[in-house]
Amino acid sequence: MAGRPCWGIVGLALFGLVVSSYLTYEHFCGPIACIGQGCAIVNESVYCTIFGVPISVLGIVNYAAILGLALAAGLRSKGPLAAWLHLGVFGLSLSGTIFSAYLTYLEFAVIRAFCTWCVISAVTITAIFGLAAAGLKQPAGPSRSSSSLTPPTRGG
Amino acid sequence: MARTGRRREGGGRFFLNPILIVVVAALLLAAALIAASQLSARQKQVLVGPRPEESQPAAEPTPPQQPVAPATVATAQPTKGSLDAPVTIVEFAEFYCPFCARYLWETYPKIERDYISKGLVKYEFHNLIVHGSVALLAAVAGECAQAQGRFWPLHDRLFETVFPGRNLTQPKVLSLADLEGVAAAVGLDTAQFNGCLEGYNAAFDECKAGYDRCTSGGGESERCAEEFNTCLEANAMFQRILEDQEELRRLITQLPPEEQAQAERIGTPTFFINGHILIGAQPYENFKAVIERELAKAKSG
Repeated sequence: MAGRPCWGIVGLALFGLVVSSYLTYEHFCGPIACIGQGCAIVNESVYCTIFGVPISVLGIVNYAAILGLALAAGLRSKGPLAAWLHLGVFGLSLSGTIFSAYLTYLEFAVIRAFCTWCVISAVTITAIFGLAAAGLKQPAGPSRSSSSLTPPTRGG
Repeated sequence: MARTGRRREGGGRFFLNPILIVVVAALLLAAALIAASQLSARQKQVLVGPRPEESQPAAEPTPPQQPVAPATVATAQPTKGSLDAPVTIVEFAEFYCPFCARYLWETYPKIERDYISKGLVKYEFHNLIVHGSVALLAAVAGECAQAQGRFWPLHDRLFETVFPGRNLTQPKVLSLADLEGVAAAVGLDTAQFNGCLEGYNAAFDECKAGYDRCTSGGGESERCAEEFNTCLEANAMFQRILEDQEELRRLITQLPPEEQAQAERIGTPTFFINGHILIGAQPYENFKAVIERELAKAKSG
């Protein structure tokens, strides 16, 4: 991902951050602020937390990390470091997409409660993954890539 | 990448292998999260027992019946208000549920002022556990207070203690000692209360140890959970919580047909107003509408 920051990823990550924060706020039991009232049910089920950590907190952490990496990649738009940063975005969004797919499966197959914001978050992370994967295909940084397996983290 | 030629070529381009590494790492991370989620969910299911919505009446033909006030069976349930009030509100709540707290602080005072204090509404509290063993302990504390006939003071103080400064986003998990402190602060007989709560706690620990032995001995997790529940059922205070879940099931089966679907989305708090379901910390106006309708029915009936 050379060039400028990928504004698509930055924007989506920001959006995802807002959605996750909202889900966290609503994460305990109760109503009613979610579209169709589904969020509360999904959130408060036994799947709502992983050993005490609300899943939406994982979402916040992931989106924040992606946002940070994408911005950093934009600031440092040249060189292998940028490529590494972009690779980080790619990896985090891949994990996020798989985990979101699992959560969506739970929503529909196990919990049977539809949660609009949760699905929106799943779509968002998938879109980030798509952009990040598309970005990977571009020539990364300088064409004179190092021949070592471990990419240089500084100065290439 | 387009220029890197064959992808599997191990030797050269720095960008190639890192991608593989990152993909593998991402897959592993996702797999770990999913496994952790499953494990964690299983653990919680054991501690909480079946979730109420799992035991909702599927399509059991229940005779369409006139919504009647839940029978005023003389239970030792915490109640408020006149026993022969025309409208009964049954609340299912949990001390760690912020929406229950919000309801208690914002909406309940109006219901008390307008209806309960005037003898128009009888109010009844039940436990619905959604946050696992921690919430279970607090619920048992409520039962122990109820055994002294002092449920409500503890109830009010517990919510204030779990959400210090009424900050709903930061629930504080209360230890056994915390709960005993709350009981002392609201003037309960501490010796009796502590004995009651610690008795339950010891039973829980013992049954949990049995459960751990069962699972680590390769026992089938469902059977181990079954044994765990049976073990804990010997405790009278836990039984009271189970009775609350039974009561919830009973009220759900008696819902008017058009409200049955709502029962699939039960959370805390959930209310039954003369047998009509209302879920969540809804605005006072929504409660008022149902109460007024039921009062009008009672008057004309």
